[in-house]
Amino acid sequence: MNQWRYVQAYSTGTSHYANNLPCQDRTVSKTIVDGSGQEIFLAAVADGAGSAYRSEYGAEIATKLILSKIEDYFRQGEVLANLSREIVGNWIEQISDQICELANDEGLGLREYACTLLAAVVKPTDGVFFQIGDGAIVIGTDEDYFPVFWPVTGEYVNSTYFITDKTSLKELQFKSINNQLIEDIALMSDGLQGLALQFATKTAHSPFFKPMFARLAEESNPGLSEVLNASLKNFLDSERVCNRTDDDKSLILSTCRCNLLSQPKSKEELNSNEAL
Amino acid sequence: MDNLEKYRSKAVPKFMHTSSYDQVPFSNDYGSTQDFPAFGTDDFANNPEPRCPVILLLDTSGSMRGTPIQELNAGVELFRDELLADALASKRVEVAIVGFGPVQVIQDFVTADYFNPPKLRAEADTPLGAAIETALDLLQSRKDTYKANGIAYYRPWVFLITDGGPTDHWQTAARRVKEGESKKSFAFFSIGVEGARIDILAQISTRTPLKLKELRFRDLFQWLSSSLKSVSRSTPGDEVPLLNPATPDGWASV
Repeated sequence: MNQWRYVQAYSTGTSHYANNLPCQDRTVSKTIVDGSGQEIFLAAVADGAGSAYRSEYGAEIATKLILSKIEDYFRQGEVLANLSREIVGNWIEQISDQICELANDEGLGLREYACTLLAAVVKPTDGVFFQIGDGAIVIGTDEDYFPVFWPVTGEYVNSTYFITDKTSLKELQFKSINNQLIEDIALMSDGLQGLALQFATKTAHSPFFKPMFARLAEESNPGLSEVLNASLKNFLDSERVCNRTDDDKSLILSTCRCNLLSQPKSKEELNSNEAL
Repeated sequence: MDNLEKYRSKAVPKFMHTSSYDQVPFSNDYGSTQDFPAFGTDDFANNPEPRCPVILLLDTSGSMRGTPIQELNAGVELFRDELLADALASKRVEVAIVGFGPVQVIQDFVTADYFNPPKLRAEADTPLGAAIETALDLLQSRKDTYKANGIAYYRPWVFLITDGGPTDHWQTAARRVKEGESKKSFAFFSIGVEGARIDILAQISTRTPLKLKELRFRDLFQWLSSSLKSVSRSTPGDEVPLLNPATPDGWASV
C-alpha cells in the first residue's frame, strides 16, 4: 500500500517584518485511512489578507475547520468519489458562518478575517481539489508537474478573492480527478507563485519541485517528516527565497513515492550525515 | 536577544501541532541550520517583478514659465531619486510623463533605474482634454503589454498637475476618467497649482482635487514616491492607506 511522506511550513515575508505584521499564512496536513483501508492525504493552505486586522486568525480557523470537515466526511463512511462541489460549497459556507460568529464575538467586521483557502484530498490515483483566491496546487509525477488551477486574482496583483467575501462561492474552483497518477502534490500560498510557476506559459516550474520531492521520497518513515519540516522552514526563511519574494510564503509537499536507498537510519545518523 | 533570534523564535510554527503525529516541540535552538538535512531548491521560475505604473500628466503651458516649471523639474528629479533609493520600488514602479501643451508623450513607461527626467519647458496653451485622453490611451497599451507578457500589475495611477484651465474640449476626457475610476481601471489624482480651474478639475476627477500650497512640488513628489513605495509593497487584498497630504503641515489643501 502506498503511504504519504510529507512536509509543511510557513514563513513570515520580509515585507511583513518591515510593517510589523505577523505571518498570515497557515497550513495543515495529515493522512487518514478511508473505509477501504487506503491512505488519503489531506492538506490545506490559507493566506490572510495583508490589510485585514485578524486575517492570520481567519486563516488558522479556515484551515483547521476545513480539515475537520474532510475528516468528518470520511468518518461517516463516505468515499472520495462522492465528494462533490456542492458538499465543498456547503463547507465553505459553514466556515464563513463560523468566522462570522467569531467576528461578532470579537466585535469586528467579517472583512478583518479575510483569507484565501486552497485544499486537496488525494489518493495516488484520485483527488479532489478546491480553491478560493490565489495560491496554487501543483500535482504530478517526478516527470512533470502542473497546476490544478491557475491562481485567480483580480486584474491587479494586489487583489484576489477571499472565503469571507459574500460572493465567495462564485469564485470557488473545484476539480475532481479520477484514474490519473498523482504521486506528488504541492500546495502553496501566492508568496511562492513567482518562484514555482511560469506565468508566461501558465505552467508549473518543474525544477522547483523535483529536488524537493526526490529528497522527500527518500525519507525513511512515512508520515510527516519532522526533520525535513524544519529544513523546509529554513529554506522558506532563507535569503535565496526572500530575495525573490517579500510576501509570506507557505508550502506543503507530499509524495506517495518511496525511494528508500538503504536501511532506515536513526534520526541522529541522518542529522550528522546529511547536515548542510 | 539579537535580531536573528527574535526572527526565529517569532517564526516558530506552533500551529503545526494540529497533526495527529507527536511532534518534537521546537525550542529556541531551533535556529541552527546545522541541525537539519539539506532541503530545498535553487531553481526558481524567473518571473519578472509585478509593475506599478504611474503617469505624470504635467502642465507645461506658458503660464508655468519661470519658477513653477523649475520647481516642477526639481520635484520630478527628486521623485526619481526617491524611487531609485528603494530596492523594490525601483524595480516595480514604472513612470511615464505626458506633457501639455502641446500634448506629447515626453517619457514612455520606464522603471526608475532607466528614468532620466527630461527638462520640461513651459510653452503653448493648455489642451488638458487631449492630454488626458493621450495618457489613458498610453496606459491601456501598457496594460496590454503587461498582459501579453504575463506580467502582473498594480492598479495604475494618473497624476495630473496643472496651473490653468483646459483650452480644449475636455468633457470626453472627463467621462473616460469617471468610467475608468468606477471600473477601477486606474486611480486619477488631480493637483491644482495657484491659478488652476479647480472647479473644472472637480468635474473631471472623481477624487477631490487638491490645491498645491505655494510651489511645493518637492513635497508633493516626496509624498507620491512614498505612496508608491507602499503600493509596490502591498500584497493581495491590500487597500493601501495613503497619508493625507491636506493636513496643516502637508503640501496640499482641499
